[in-house]
Amino acid sequence: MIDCVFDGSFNGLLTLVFDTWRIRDKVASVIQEPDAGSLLPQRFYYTQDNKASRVREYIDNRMGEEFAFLVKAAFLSSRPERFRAIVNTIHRACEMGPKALGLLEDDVLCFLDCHKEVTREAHRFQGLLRLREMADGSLLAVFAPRHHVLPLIMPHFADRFPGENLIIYDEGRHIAGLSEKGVVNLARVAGLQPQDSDGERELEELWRVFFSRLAIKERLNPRLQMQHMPRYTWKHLPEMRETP
Amino acid sequence: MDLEEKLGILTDAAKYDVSCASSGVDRKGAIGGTGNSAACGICHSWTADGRCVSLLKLLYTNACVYDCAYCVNRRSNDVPRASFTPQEVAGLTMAFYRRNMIEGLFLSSAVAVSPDRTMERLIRVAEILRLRERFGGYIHMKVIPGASRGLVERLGYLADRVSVNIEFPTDQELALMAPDKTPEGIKSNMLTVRDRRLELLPTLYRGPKPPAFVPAGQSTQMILGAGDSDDREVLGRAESLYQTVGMKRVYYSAYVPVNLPPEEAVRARTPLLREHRVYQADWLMRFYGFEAREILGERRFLDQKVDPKIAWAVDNFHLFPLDVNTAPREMLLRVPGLGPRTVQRILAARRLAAISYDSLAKTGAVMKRARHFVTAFGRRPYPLTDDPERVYRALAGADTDACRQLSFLDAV
Repeated sequence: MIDCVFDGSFNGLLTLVFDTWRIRDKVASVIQEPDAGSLLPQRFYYTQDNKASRVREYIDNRMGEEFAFLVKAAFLSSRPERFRAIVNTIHRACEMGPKALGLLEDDVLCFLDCHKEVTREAHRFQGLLRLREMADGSLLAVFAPRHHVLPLIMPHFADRFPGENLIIYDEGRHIAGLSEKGVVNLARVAGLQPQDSDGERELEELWRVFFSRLAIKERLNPRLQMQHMPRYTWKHLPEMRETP
Repeated sequence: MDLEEKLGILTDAAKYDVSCASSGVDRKGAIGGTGNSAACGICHSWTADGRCVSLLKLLYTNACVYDCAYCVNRRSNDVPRASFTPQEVAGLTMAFYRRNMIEGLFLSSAVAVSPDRTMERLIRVAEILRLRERFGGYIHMKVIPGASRGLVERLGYLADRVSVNIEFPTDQELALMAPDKTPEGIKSNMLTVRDRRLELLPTLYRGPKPPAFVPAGQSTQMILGAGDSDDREVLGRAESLYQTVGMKRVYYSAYVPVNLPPEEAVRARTPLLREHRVYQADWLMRFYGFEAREILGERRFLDQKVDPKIAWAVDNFHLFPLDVNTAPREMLLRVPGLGPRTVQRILAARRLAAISYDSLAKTGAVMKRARHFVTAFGRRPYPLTDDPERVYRALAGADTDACRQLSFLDAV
């Protein structure tokens, strides 16, 4: 058994899938940083784009669009085991086709769980993301998701507001998604100094009035609320912020 | 009266309407417009009572000419009254939508002057949104019971979903509680929507696509615990609505005694657990292939201690245990602890290899419930009872904590 170390990029992972095919039973873990505590031999895999694109083509042609999307979504997860799960699942799928996803093996189940967590959070933030109008008329949203869901939600917002300039900023990863009149880009950003437009405060106040009046006091159930809207999302929600 | 005050009053007045779904329509954003719609529906927030906020849920006005016994907005109640203008509602919708606070608008109204006059106002709001603002988000509009056919049809071309509330499972009860509404009026509104939808359903033929008419279908709502109808009548009515009118959803709302003096209201508690069980039964009808009379068996009310699927399985204990490796899909769906997703996984997994009892939990099955009803090649890891009575008690005991009647006091 060996520990496989790679650079953490998507192409790096696909290269690793290629290079470990013959020793696929011996992959104990796939990690980004060498693990000093491990007793297993560690081997480095360097990204080679030609190998990565061969794997990518293979997946696109043989496994279908759905499987290819599962791989991408699972890659965006922040679970530490995600790399190993992806590598082993692709190997299994190369052996038996996409029906490998029906196997009840731990790596396949973990792979599907990663995908599920990521798409679930992406869906959640399609709703929980709050946009604010800036002084120049563009829209800004700041959020801090657990998984790297930004690439998954950008197309949705670009489609929703085709005529607007909008910025969605992932606070924890310092990555911003930009949509200018429907064209999407991702960029690394050091920080933002947003300047709200004039009417923003009053509008937020209207929203808070609507939100608080909607609750029926005979049915109060804060636990259920928290289950749907976990506390880590509250910071960026005007309706859950304490009044200043 | 300023906008904030109006918004407060008319949100308060609208909050007892349950529906807030934004699902059923897939619509791309249009260049020059604002908004799209996702078939799965998107929730934007959750209020302190745990209900989702998907749409801007408002009454257009709460100044009602009707006097329905159960309603907070009835003519004889002394509550602050307010009315929006169409521009105000459209403006709020666009402003909130642009900040991703909502998926769209859910507009209802008290009956002002007459059903038709009220409908005209609602249609005006929809027209401003769709035609002037080129709004592509979700619009759910209430049809005012008894509105004329032409107006219902006009609304249907603008809205994604319309609903007319049936309120009670029997016509007698409706007559008693809402003397100004007629069951015929409500039903004819529903049938208008159904017929138009069927007429305009996109076919496979060539030629221009027909215009969308209520693309997300219609829904309705029933109040539980305001009158004295039982679950048999409630589920029976719901089932017939699903089958005859092609209803997309029937919502149930545990009655909040808004019109009782406070001393009486404390005793007449909101039947939240009953509502929960009725929803579970509704799901069994829609996604699990159950019929209303199967679910209820000999009962008038659903068992409150266990969910209706367990109640059914215990009643029909002779059908179990099922072997997960050979049982057909329809039967697996009837096993407590297995849902549609789990069943799908079981079917995919057993095509590749036999499923052992131990790997069953990995499919997502809730073994706490399922273990009483399944085997894998005749195997079960430890002796379980074959006495339905004891199975019932085991599951009712495990269930009481998770589903006890919630009280206002312990939530705080």
